[in-house]
Amino acid sequence: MNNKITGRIIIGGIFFLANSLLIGCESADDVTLGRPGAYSDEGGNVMAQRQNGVMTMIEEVSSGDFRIVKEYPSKVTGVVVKKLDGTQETIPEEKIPSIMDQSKNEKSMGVGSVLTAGLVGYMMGRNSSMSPYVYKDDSLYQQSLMNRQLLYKQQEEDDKRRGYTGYWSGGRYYSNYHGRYNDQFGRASTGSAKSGFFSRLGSSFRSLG
Amino acid sequence: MKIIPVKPVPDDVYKKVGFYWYASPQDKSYIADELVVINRDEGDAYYRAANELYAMYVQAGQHVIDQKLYPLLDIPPNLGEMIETSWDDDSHFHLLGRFDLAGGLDGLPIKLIEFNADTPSLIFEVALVQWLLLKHNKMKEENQYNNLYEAIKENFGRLRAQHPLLGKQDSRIPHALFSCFEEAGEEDENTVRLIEEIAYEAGFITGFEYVEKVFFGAEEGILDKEGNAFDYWFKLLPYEIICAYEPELAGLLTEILRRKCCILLNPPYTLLFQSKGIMKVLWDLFPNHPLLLETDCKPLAGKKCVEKRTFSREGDNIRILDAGGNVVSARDGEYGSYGKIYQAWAELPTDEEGRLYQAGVFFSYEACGLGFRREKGIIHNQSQFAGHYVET
Repeated sequence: MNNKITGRIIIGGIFFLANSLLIGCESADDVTLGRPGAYSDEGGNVMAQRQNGVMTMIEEVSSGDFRIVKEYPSKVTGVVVKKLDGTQETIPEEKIPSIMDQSKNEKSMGVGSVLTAGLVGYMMGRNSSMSPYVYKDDSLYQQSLMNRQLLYKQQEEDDKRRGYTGYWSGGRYYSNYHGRYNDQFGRASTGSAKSGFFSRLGSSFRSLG
Repeated sequence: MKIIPVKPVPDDVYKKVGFYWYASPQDKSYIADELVVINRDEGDAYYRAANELYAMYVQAGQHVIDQKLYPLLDIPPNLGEMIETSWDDDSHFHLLGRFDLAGGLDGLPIKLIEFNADTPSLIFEVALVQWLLLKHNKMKEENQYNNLYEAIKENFGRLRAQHPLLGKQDSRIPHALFSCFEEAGEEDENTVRLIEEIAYEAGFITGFEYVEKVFFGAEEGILDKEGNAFDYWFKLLPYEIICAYEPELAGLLTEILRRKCCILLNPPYTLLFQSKGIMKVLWDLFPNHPLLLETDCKPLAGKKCVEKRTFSREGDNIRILDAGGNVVSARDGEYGSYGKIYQAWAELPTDEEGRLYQAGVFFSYEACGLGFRREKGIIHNQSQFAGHYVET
């Protein structure tokens, strides 16, 4: 069977989240820098609560020297660090700022420096222009530039649906790009469209097979 | 067959990732605390079988359309145009489906049971839950045939590439709306939200709206309650249900497709594959094919067989008949109004406790994930899910 199964943690944000939740269980074997807190509230639908974010994977290329090898928009924000000795660290969202704060004490491109200069640093207001030098190669940097634009559009659409008109909520990210794409994504009229189908069906039906 | 015990993942972890339906009645866990052990050859055989079967389904689908065999598949006439419109346009890409297969272990031959092509379940279980079991038990993720999440993500990329307007390099970002019934429960909603999350990571702008609140317009297309129009609509809502309960909506969707306002996921032509009637067509086209079970519209004379309804789900409305035509086992359900097909009995791998194992192989452009359901008797929607471990 198609066996492209390595590195699943970074392939999907939900895998990062699930892996982070396993940390702390006695059989967990990964190292973490903190507990995930963004989705720990009881009650409600946790899938529905997920906001927009960015997943980042960085690798240690030489002792103490790290580079970004993948970044993409996700409903989960998190960082996975692969080290030269084969170990792996997962950094949940709430721990990322403190890791970035340590960058000033790093003597080379450590984890904090790389995160600060990458897309997640940009989204958290830590840089105004992402550095191409913290990416493993230029194509990764170019892809992240495209992802930055994509994140804005996705966030803008989510904000619009939720009725937000101001800056991004939660203090995670900042944005001054609102309204930029309005000419491209204008709202359609619902003049003759109909809704309310299946309203009389009731709750007994299950659709899965 | 070989199964190995594993330490269960804490319920709290399941809840927090959105997997709420892990508990089953009868005081047993829905997730088995054992893994089915398979070897590489067995895994590769499942992979080849699903790919070959999908190619056969495509040929059978074309045959049904060419010969107008919709009555044989129990497909209402008012869905014909929708099916054919999506079939003839490559931008209507099949996102994912799941083959249910008998055999494959203990030397038993792999046989097609059915193809859940329109609204497959088990996505959370195959993609995430069995992977969590590996991680929690310090097993390597390489020891599992499980590429489902990535395959769906890649397929969203193909969907975009196939779109006549959105497939170009400098095109705007596609918008996709995801829906299920408001009262369908956490399983349906979280499954839909998981697919939405995958689409988001694949670079789509996504939204979620309950089916009852979605706006449908022949000119406007498909909109959420704020009036945002979408390029794609993923619905965990079977087409045969649309036709039976809201025929006006079926007409609107046909018009929306005709005007190319929106692309439906899964495409309407997956209804051809979803109908168990197509297994009669497959047997007619590929008689005695090693992956197929003999199927007919009448009981198989002198052979043990299974009576199924064309659009029954989750093991409902199934009767097992012995060679003399006597009912030896049965499950009732709410699908009794659909037509019947009779499929030859296939042996399922069985463990020491007498539980039967049915393999589910997901297909998303290619075979991409394996999981098992097990039960002492007819497998249904509350039968245990068992993950697997590939022995090297």
